[in-house]
Amino acid sequence: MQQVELFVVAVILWGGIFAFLAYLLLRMIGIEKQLKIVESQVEGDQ
Amino acid sequence: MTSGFGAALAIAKKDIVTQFRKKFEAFSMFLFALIAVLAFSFAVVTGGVVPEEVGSALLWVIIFFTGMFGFAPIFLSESETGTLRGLATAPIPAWSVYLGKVIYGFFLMGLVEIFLVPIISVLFGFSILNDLPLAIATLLVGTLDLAAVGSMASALTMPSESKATVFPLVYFPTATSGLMLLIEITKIIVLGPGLIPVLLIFEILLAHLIAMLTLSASVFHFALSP
Amino acid sequence: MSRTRLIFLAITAVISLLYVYMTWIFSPPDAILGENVRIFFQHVAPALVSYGLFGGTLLCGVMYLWKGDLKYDILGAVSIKLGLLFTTITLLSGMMWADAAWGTPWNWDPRETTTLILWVAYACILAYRASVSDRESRAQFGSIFGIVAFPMVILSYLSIRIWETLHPIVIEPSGLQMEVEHMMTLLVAMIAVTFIALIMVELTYKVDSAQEKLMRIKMERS
Repeated sequence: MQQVELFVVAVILWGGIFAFLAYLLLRMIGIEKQLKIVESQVEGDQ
Repeated sequence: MTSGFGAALAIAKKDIVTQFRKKFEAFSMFLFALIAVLAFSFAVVTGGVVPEEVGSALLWVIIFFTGMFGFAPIFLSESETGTLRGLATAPIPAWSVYLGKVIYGFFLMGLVEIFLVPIISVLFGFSILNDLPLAIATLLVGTLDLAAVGSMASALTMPSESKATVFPLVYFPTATSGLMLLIEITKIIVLGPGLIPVLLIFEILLAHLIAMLTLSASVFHFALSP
Repeated sequence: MSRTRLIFLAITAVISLLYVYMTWIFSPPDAILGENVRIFFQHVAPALVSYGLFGGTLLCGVMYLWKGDLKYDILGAVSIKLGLLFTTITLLSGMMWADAAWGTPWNWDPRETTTLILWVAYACILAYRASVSDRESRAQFGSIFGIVAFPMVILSYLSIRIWETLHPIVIEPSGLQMEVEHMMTLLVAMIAVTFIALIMVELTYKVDSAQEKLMRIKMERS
């Protein structure tokens, strides 16, 4: 029983940190894609 | 400085006079509190009795929720009648607008409490007479604290798309700290001293009141500007 | 990537590895707590870091009201989000601790309760911000909210002093009540989690800034 909690706490801490970093990465990829689209549209206007 | 306080009192007086003419808000708050009492009674009454520690705690919980209901219109009414701009552009410091509203809120809630506190102590079966001076002091400080927080929360709902829905969201984080202290003090009054001296907690409550009033008054200038 | 950033990342990685090593291998089991002391090192640091982040929210709020630069507000929102993340970690690891030490994950202990209140309180700030559509108003009023919400953080920290609690009290007037190895591990834990949090703050700030820039370009075009 005790071993389980120790393991879970480690998962909570490091899992939480890396999950958030992964989430940031996904968001950044999405934003860069959209920025490229918008920037080419702006060039198209000009 | 004195003109600031004078302006605050004038604002408070105006709202109080309006309240006496309409009587609507105070009475609604009182009814809301009774509704809360009934709702809670379904949960906490066992064998015809409410345990003293539960009942005394519920006193402030009910006041807290009544505040959530009753403090929202403090600035909302000004926004609806279009007088908010007048308050913002008047040649009085922002903090005195805030203070005036706090005084009004204190008066409003205090009026409700005069009837509510005896009723709740009878219905929930506890006595605050064990330490009446402290109980009254706590009621005064606590009500002022909630009014300070409630007025600020009401002002913060102004830029929001859904002012009424958002008021509890702003009220909760700011009022809960005071609530916890108030419940603790009341429990000690009703049940007797615990490990921590009650005066220490009362001091912390006082510090909390001063902190909330000062913080809010200092930034209120930004809450009024469009 | 700039040189300073690379160095900072490297230092963080090294300290984090040291942190893991010290938590699991270097630290001896505690006399009273046994192996559970390892939870302690992964629970305290995120808790204190979350307080720091909410303090950051306070600071950013003040800076925005003073200077009017939206960058402060973006940073303030970031610190709320990350504060919530670390509060979540604190709550969950605390529940594991409670389960291991006392059998039940939740005891409505004052520390547990005020930490949960803190979570809800700052989540309220995020919800509130979402309801204000004008960017400047959101920054202005959001800053005020972040400022007046801070006393709750102070109360949460003081809660174990005011109410009777199951929560272990480690800082006494006489000094820290623990063995040397544990003190060292805790120190490394604090440094490691702080560095990690700083990196996360910076990265999130960059992403949020980019997103706002994107929204602005989109709006200007339409």
